[in-house]
Order: sequence, then C-alpha cells, then structure tokens
Amino acid sequence: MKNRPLKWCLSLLICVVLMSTIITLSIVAYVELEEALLRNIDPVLRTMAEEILAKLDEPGSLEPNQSEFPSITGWYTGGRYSNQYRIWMDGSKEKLLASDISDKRYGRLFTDLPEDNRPEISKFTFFNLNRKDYQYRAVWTRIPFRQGIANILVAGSSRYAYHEMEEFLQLLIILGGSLLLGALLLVPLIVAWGMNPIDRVAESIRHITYKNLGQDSLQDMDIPQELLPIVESLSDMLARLDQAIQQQKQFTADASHELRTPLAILKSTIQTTSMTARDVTDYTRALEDTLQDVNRMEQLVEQLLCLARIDEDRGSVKTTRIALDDLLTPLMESFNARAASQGGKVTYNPIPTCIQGNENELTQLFTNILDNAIKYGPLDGTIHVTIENEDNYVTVCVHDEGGAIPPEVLPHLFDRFYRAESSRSRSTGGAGLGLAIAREIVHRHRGKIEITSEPQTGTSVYVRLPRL
Amino acid sequence: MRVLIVEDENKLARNIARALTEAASFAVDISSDGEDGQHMATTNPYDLIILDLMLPKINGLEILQNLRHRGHHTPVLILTAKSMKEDIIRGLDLGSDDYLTKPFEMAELIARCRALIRRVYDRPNPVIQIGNISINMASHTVTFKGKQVMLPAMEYRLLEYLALRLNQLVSKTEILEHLYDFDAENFSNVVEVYVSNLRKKFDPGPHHVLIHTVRGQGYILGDIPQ
Repeated sequence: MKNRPLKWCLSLLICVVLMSTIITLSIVAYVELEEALLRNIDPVLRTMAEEILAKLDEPGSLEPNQSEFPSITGWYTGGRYSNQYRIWMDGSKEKLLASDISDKRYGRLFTDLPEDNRPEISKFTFFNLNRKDYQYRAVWTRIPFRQGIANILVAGSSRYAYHEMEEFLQLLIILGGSLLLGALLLVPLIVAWGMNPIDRVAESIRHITYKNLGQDSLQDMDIPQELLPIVESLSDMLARLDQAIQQQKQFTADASHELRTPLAILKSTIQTTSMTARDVTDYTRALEDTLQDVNRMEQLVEQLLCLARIDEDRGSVKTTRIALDDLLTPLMESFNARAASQGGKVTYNPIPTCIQGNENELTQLFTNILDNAIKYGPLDGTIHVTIENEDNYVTVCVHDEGGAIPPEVLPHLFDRFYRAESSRSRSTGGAGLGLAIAREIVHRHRGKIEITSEPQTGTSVYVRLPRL
Repeated sequence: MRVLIVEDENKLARNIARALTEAASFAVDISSDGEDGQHMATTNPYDLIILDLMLPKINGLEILQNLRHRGHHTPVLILTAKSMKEDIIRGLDLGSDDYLTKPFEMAELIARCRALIRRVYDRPNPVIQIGNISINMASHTVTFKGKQVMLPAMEYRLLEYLALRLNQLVSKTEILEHLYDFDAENFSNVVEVYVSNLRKKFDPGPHHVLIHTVRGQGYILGDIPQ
C-alpha cells in the first residue's frame, strides 16, 4: 500500500487551482487594460487622420512649409512630436509628406509596415508599432488621390499606456504572489482542520480492543456525512468480528465443559474408590466406569479434532471419484449388525452412482447420521437408507422410526454442541457434534443436508451431493 | 448432616454421594434434573446443596434464585464445569455460598462442604469440646478423656449433629430429617437406641448427664447440671 498523505495532495491541488485562477484572471485583466488604454488613443488618431484626409486636396497641403498637418497631429514636445504622420502613394517608398522624423532611426517604423494591416480603400486599421523602447499606436487609411492611391498613417506614442500597464503588471504580480503565498500557508491548515474527523474516528478505532468489540463505540460519534459509509462498514465489520469471536468463545466454553465433565467423573471415581480399601467388585466397577469415561473423552477429542481439521483446511479437500455403493455397502453391513444386536435392522437399496469426494470424510458423514438413527430410533426399529438420482445430484435419505423432533429444535440440530434434550442424549452419550461435523462435510462437498421429522413416520436425514 | 446433590451426570453424583457418606458421614440425596432437584430442595431441610449449573429442565442458577427467593437459607455450593469468571460471579451474586469447578479434588469438595456446614451452625472451630469429649469434625474422630473412641457411622452422625446444636433442644423429627437420606428406612425408635449407646460410651460420671431427654420434645446435648 502506497501511503500518500491526502492532506498534502489536497493542499497541493487547491494551491494549483488557486494559482491558475489568479494567473488567468491576471492575464485577462492585463489584456483588458491594454485594450482599454490603446482604445483611448484610437479615436484621437482617427480624428487626426480624418482631418488630414479633409485637408489633403487643399492646394499647398503637401508643401512642407505650408502644410497644416503638423498642427493637426499635435504639438512639439521634448525634441520631437508626440504624434507622427506620413503620407505616401501606393507602390512608392518615397513619402509625399511626413512629420519631421528621420527614416534612418525609428522613422523606419513607419516605412516597413506590416502588410496584414493594409486597409481597404476609405477604411481605417489600428495597430501597434513597437520596436525596442519606441511604442506607437497607429491608424492607417487609404484613399484615391490624383492618379493613384494615397496612404495616410498617423501614429501616437503609446509609451504612457505601456508604462501604466507595466505598473499594473507589477501590482498583479505582488498581489497574486502574496495571495498565493497566503494560500500556501493557510490551505494546509484548513485541510488539516477539515480532516480532523478522520483523526477522531481513528482515535476511536484505536480504542477498540478484543474486549469492547461488541459495544459499537463508533455509533454515537459525531461523524461528517462523507465518513459515514466508511464508519458504517467498519461498524458492520466489527459486529461480524464480534459475532465470530462470541461463537468461538461459546465453542471453547462448550468444548471445555464437555471435556471437563468426563474428566471430573473420572477423577471422582478414582478418588472415591481410593479413599479406603475396597473389595474386588468395587475396583472392577471403578475400572469399568473409568474406561467408559475415557472412551467418552476419546470420542469427544476425536470429534473436536475432526472439526478443527475441517475448519483449518476449509475448501481444500482432497477428492477422488467414489462409487457411492462401494462406500455405503460396508457401512450398512456394520450398522445392520449393530442394529440387529438390539433387535432392529438397516435396509438399503444400492443404486450405482458416482460422486467426487473425500472418502474418509464421506464415511464419517454417513457414520454420524446412521449413528444418530440407531441412537434415537426405537431399539427394534428399521432404518431405511434410500438413494435417489436426479440430473446433477444424488440424494441419500436415512430414515428412522424415532419420535418427532419439535419443529423449533430442527434448525439448531446442526449447531455445535447442540443437544435436542439432555435426557434424550446424555444417556446415549455424544456431545452434540455429530451433526455439526456432518454439515461441515456436506458443505465441503458443495451439498446440502436437511432433517425432517414427523410423529407418525419418524425422522429423515437427506444428504444431497453433486454427482458425476 | 443431610446433603442434596443436584447433578445430571449420574456417575459423578454417585461418586460424590459415596465420598460424602464415607468420609464425612453425611446423609446424601441425589437428584438428576433441575425440576426434581428444586422440588427436593424446597421440601426437605438440607444442611447443604451441591448444585450443578447445566441441568435438564431447570438450570442451576434458576434453582438457586428460586430457593433464595422463597427464603431458603440452605448453603449452596455450585459445582460446575463452567470456569468462566462471569458465571462464578453470577452464581455467588445470586446467593450461592461457594463454588468449585470440575474437575475437582474430592478431598477439597468434602472440606468445603464441612466448612459450609460449620458456618451454618456458627461453629468456626472444627473441634467441638463438651466436657471430656472432643469431636473433630475434620478428621472425623471423637476422643473421650484423652482416648479415641471409634463410633459407628450413625452414632457419629447423631453425636456430631447434637454437638453442632450444643445446648439446644433438638426434636426427634429434626434428628430424623438431618441424619437420614430419602431412601433410608427411618424408625423413630432407632434414635433412642443411638442415644442410649452414646450415653453408655460417654459416661461423664455421677451427677452429670451428657444427653438430656426432654420428654415429648427431644434431646439436649450439653453440660447442664441436673
């Protein structure tokens, strides 16, 4: 995971946006000011050009000494006229008349005019003429004159406007710069303040431990809307974790209870028996009792280990192709023998079916189910085992003639350490893990297990497994 | 002393009963489910109840709560495979007097039972001295004038019970109720036989009587001058 600080990313982003806004605004303001300043000059220049046009036909107007043009274009200041003019014919480089300005110096400005700005007849074009430190705003117009076309150019110095603009630019830089600097300092602080809730949530989460997991300490917090989804999913996750831990705790408590009880009996038997000298019958009885309890513990430990194994390598079960008959037939024989010893029997109709599965686990599965059928069915009852093939599934049904299981109990039968009724199972032993193991095995084989129970007919366990 | 064991593991209950009878001379009743246990506990004057928590029908804590609610003061020792501290605290807070977690030492259970019973009769000292007689309830021995006297179980039981209620009038019914378990065939004249046996074995000499008979009412054990 790459940890980019969101605070700095956000700050940077805001600063960049702010900077581009300031720069764009500055450019716009600058350009607008330039245009406004120059446009102030344009009407003056145009008036001058129009006056020159009006006077052009007057006799002597083109005589340098009699010409009134210099008085039209302005005054003489500081060694040169602030405004300049030049009149020439199309196709000729020679001037007809021009303000007193040397062609060799900046006067060239007015001879090498940009062709783009050449106006139509009787039209005016305005443009800038800039070279080094000479800045002029110019108007250019053309009219028919004598046998050709006369060009009239009037140019006014835009030095002052450019000076104004320079000052404005300085102002913009200083203002924009300080704004940006201020933003650079303030934005991280503001962003950090805005992110405070994250820190608060993090702080609350830091206080969540294994012990107070279920208290949902995040629920009453004052959380901004944007953080709600995260906090809510966190709360959900904590609730799920809590549930899992509670289940684990319950399982451990149950397991320890189930292990302690036979251990307590064992110990009490041994201690009571060894309190005084006893006769052989007493010792024999104590040994028998002890063996019984050891067997009970052994069975429980086996089952716990089996569950632990299943929990550990969930999903990674080694499977082979199994003919269901080959697996069930020997089981049926041994259970039939067991049932026969107490006056009952097991019937079985073999149908050739192949499934993909783990042989050990499937044997365990059917052993557990048949074991229950023998335990909870009547002693002389018949256990029917039937197989039904469907398109993709095979259903094995184990039916016993045992009493009805109350409907409210049915959903809990697969819970670990669940016993329908203590009196029903204590005498027959078992810790309530058989069906839990069965369910885990069926789920690992992507199948389903169900129990139905009716007072008249008895109890049926259906195992549905995908067939090959 | 009469003790009730409410425990659904029959074998364990039988073992405890046997140990208590042999080592502490208690009369012991066993109940294997909550309902029956609660009934027995409320209808008989037990000196102690040993109570399992996970019981069929009515759970142990509920029985305890009901007992205390109905005003029964009988000490209750919780014997449970639950070792979670919360369960133990809950049990004690609901009115139990002591607890032991399974698996347990039988000797410890017996000692705790004795201690609880001593507390009920307000006898913190396990040795009760009456004149020349000294009864050690812990080692279960009786000495008379410095010599140890071997007593049959029932005689010891009677002597111990009377000693615990020293200088008090004890009715014959009380003796029968506290000395015999449910299954015993108790004939009231048996008590008189035991009393006369005890009088013979512990003769304090002339002008002194150990066990006084209060006609029609019962007996008093004590060094009361005639």
